[in-house]
Amino acid sequence: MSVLVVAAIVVVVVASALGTVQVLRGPDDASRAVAGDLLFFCATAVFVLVGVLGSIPVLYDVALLAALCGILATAAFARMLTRGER
Amino acid sequence: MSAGDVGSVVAGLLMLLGSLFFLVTALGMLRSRDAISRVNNLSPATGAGLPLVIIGAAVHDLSAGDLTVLDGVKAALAVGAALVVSSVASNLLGRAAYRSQTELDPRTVGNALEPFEELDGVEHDD
Repeated sequence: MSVLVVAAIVVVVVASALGTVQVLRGPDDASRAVAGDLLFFCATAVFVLVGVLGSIPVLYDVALLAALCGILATAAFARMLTRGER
Repeated sequence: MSAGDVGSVVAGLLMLLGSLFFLVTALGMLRSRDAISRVNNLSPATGAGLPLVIIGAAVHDLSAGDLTVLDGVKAALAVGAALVVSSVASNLLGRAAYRSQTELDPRTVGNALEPFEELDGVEHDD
């Protein structure tokens, strides 16, 4: 049922557009960092959904790596927000 | 309607449900008023949205008959990692967001970090 997959892609793209609005709106750095995290997960979801449509062979490798390494970006954002303190 | 068709419809519905969690997260982020609420709002996307999308993709490949055992293991690990790693990441980001903001949303109920981290703008009851 590729119609459902295309609908899911559209919904995730709308969600990431709203996340971009959140990045523009702010109002503080922490909110922008959280919205950036949401955009990362939206991008992962869009990749998985497009991979289902086009039967990309590396789909699960990318999903696993994105889920495992997503913490690095978040930890870097968190360290930046506290100006290097733990 | 064969079993493969039913499987692909179920997979499509799972992926659509997962994508709706992303939409709910984005809308909640626009509605909430401070950074720590937005960190809380991230949880539906990472804890329910991404796992449902990955499970939907695995069900789709399973019903089409081209899901190898290795791919299934990778999908299961990705779901587990999305659940575990994202909660650790949310804790890190939540603490950093709490420390970087000067005042809490007045609707916040309970503040377990208050004895450890002082905020400039928070009014104390005592």
